[in-house]
Amino acid sequence: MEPAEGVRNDEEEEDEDFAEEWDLLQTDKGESSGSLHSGDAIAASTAAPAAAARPSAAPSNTTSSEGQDVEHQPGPAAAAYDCDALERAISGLAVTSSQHDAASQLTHVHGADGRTLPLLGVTVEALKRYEDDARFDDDTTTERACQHIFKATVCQPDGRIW
Amino acid sequence: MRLGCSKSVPPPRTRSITEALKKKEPSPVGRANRFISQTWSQRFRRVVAAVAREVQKERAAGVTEEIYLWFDVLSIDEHHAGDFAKGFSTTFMESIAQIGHVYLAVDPWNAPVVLTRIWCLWDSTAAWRRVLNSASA
Repeated sequence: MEPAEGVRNDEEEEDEDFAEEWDLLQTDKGESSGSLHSGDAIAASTAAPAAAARPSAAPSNTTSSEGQDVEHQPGPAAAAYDCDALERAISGLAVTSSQHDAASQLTHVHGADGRTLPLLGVTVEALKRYEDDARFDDDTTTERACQHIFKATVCQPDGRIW
Repeated sequence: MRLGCSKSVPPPRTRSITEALKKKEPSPVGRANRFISQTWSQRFRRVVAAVAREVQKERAAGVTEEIYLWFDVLSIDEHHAGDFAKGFSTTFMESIAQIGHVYLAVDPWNAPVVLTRIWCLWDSTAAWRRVLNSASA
């Protein structure tokens, strides 16, 4: 509900204060900022300077276009982050058939504990396409989106869909 | 391993690689270079909107590399979240270090939920550790 004209509540003042501070911060950085409204979500970006490649960094674990592991990585984590399932997840994202080639270029992080984690990334355009296709409403949480993605794309070993 | 579950799987779009190359479109997937830190109670559309704004800002600032977002909803199957959590302190830290750039989805901006979750604080810690390591190298 809109407050009566001329009436300001504390929240509004806080909003404006923050917006001003935010603008100042952006100006300090030589950037212009868009307007910020109450309740907006923002992404705070933390960029690290480019680091030299770590010698301990994992070698790549690639997947062929057929989804077969070229370099086999056994272990429970490898199963949890099955490239095959990820490929299907990407399919669910309405990503093109080039996903297979792209997936073959993905590298994994191999932790000291023997676990692996894929460094799968998607463009923001792909993400928005998925958002459009899935037709989530405004209240859909990211958890629900995750369930949606994997329910649609991953199934149990016996073939049942989650 | 292929699983026989094609029945309920939505068909992928069939735009060919050649077609994408002709249009000079970047691949929609690639090695992640931005890590999205958010909580699972956050609203999907708001997170995507915030991230899109940040990507736009980066591009406006002259970043030319293709930005690939690591978003846990794509990479972590919650049915295996328990397994993932066991690698919490090492593999996860290493993955953030390799990605090298974190987007913190701050929502709402005046009371960010993301700062009340240990996982997200861990994301930020991992990012800062990388910054500090890089600075001291």
